[in-house]
Amino acid sequence: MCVAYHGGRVGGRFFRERTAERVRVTLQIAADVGGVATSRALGKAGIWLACVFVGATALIAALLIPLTGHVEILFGVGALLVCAAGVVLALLTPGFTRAVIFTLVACAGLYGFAVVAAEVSVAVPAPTPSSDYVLLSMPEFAVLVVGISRRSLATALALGTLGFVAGPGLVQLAAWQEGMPLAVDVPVLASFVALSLFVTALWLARRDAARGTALMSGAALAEEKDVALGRFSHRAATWVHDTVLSDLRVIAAGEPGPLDERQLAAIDRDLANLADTRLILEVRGANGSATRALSTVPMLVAVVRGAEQAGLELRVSGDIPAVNALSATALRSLERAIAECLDNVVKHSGVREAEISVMSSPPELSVMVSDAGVGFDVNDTTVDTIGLRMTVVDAIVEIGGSVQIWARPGAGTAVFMTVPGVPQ
Amino acid sequence: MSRARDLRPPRGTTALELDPLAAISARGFLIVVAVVSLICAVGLTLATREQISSWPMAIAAVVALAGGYAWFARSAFRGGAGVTSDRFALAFALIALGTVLNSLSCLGTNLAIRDDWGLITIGLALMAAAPFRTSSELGVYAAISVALAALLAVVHVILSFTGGFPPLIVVTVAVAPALAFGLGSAAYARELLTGIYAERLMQAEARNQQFDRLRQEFVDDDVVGEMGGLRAEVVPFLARIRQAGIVTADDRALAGRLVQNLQAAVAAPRHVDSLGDHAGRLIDESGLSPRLHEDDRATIRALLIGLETSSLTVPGSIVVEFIEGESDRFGMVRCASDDVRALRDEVMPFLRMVRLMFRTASEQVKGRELLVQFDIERLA
Repeated sequence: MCVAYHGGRVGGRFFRERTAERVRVTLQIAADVGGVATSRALGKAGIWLACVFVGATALIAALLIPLTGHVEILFGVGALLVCAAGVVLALLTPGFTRAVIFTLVACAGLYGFAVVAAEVSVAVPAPTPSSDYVLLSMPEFAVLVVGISRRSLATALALGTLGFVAGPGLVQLAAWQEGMPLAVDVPVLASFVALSLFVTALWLARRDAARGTALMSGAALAEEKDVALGRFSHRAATWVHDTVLSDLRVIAAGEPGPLDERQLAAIDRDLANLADTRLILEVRGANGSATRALSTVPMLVAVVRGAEQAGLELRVSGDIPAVNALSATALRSLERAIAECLDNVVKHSGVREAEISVMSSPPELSVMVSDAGVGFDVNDTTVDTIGLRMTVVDAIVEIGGSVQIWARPGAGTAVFMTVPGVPQ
Repeated sequence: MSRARDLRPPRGTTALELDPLAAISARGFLIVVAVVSLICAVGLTLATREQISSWPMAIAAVVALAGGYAWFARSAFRGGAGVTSDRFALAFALIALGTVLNSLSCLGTNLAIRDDWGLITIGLALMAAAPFRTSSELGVYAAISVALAALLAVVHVILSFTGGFPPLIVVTVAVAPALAFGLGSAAYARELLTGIYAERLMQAEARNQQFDRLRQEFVDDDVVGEMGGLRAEVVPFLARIRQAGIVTADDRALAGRLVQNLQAAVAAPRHVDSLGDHAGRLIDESGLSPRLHEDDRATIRALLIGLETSSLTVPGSIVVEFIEGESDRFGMVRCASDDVRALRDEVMPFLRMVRLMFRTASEQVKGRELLVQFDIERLA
């Protein structure tokens, strides 16, 4: 028998959706042990920073061409492109020597631009700005970030200092060459100091975190080792109990005489398994856990692991990574619903096995949680069944999804949940 | 490492949700950004004081900025959900208010848009938020910041600046920092999330390999065969009666003895608990340790290893105690040291992890002892 529940679509919840969030701490945590991800991320941030500042400078320079009539500004824009390319390559390259070379290339490009910009500034019939004016400052900011993606503090500071000395230093040289009044560029100097502080603070904090994460990863592996060995031992003991021990009991309790066919077959099976004990450990439930299948879907790991620790043997199948395409709201509702379903299996099904199947058909995604337990009458209104329906249906219907519950006494239960929000 | 473009991290997830330990560096970074922003605000306010037309607004701007960062930092350092979307929205609103007030404080008297600190600090706040929020959120905030900066620049072009540069140049100068930091923060958040997700998959693979290796070791060590003399006695016995095809009275007696041995082996406690390996003493009268949640055990284990490997710890002084009452459960880790405070500083990352994992956890120095206490709310 089946009952179905449907909800209307809910849209436009960019910020509201995260009000009920919580930290999901689990040892499936990744932990950027070597700081690689952080360095790459800083590199990407640096690229955007540099490109925007250089791009803005290039735009302003281009706007000045019709105002000043100096077409040679285009050469300055070309030099800016060299500067940007140098910064980007310095941020991306893993080798320090190459990063130094690219930094020098960036500074050379900056110098080329500064020469043109200073020449034009001096030539135009207006008060000549000093060397700290904004058109020269903005690309200098770009050069300052060259060191932020380095993984060691020393190389990060060294590269940043090189960028600061060679970049703004050459700009001052260009300004002096072209007869522009010299001035200390305070914002650039302050930015260099601030950036050095950021890099130092981040590195120090990362050093602490890295030690913690390395140890936590080791501890998590040790814990998994305990769990795995415990699972193997349990499986082995169960097998011995159900087979060899049982067969020996029959022999000990029986009368002396010839063994019958069934006893001979049982002994053959026991001896075969004992000859290669891998067979004993190969059965479902002893082969790791469903969380292994869910490593690509971190948000579901906690709930599935919780169910496994409550004693369930779970099988997860289907297009599992498709779950990641769901919005945060849909994902959290789905997580809540699945948790309730699994909790019901543990508490009421009478079996220790359940299955989660994921089916993706954009713009919808369906998840079915099923078991072959005692089932129930879907028209039943006892507290247990109402709890299942209230939590699961509430969670799914409120995000515009639908729920179908198939259940019959003695024939198991299947909860089929469909949620919207999968990009086509 | 599998590269980012092939990966599909969960939508709406922040880097810190995948890697809570990164909160340590994210918080440190936030504090430095906050301090730098405030120094920048105060410094530029004083340096450009001749441009200020309304001191109340100038002061209110700095207060709003400080309030925004204070709220941001408070959210980052609290337990539980940390910097939620709502909390960051409030922090950003206060910082944006500071930007507006800073700009309005020099209305009519502003000489150069680049002196307006609000246009920089609003971008810096987004950089600090990168580990805490998603790239899509940061993209929206970046757009808001750019729009705000452009609007303020236009206001100054109309009311403050006379002649000089064309409006488009002024607006470009004004929006550049917000745009640069905004896009930088969104890229940072996205790349960090993808990178951590990739590491996560690598670690899952490492665990799979460990699991397969352990199973092979279990087979190679013949743990099953060792149970109750299975290999030494039971197998020869079964092989003999299988070959004979008949059971004698002596065989029956021997089978009875083998049943007893096997029964005892099967009933023996099989739980593997290596937590005590890292402590001088494990006190667990109620047998709570094996029942702890796997993640909690790993956290305690990490703390114990941190204490165990520290040169400041008095060897053998680590005591772990689990106590289960009728309605509650808690644990304690005690450790002696000649310099307890230095020891506490050394193991601080693990103490923070304990605080992350256990809702109620605290540590204190008592004489020569470091005492860590935590309530245990969940069991495996």
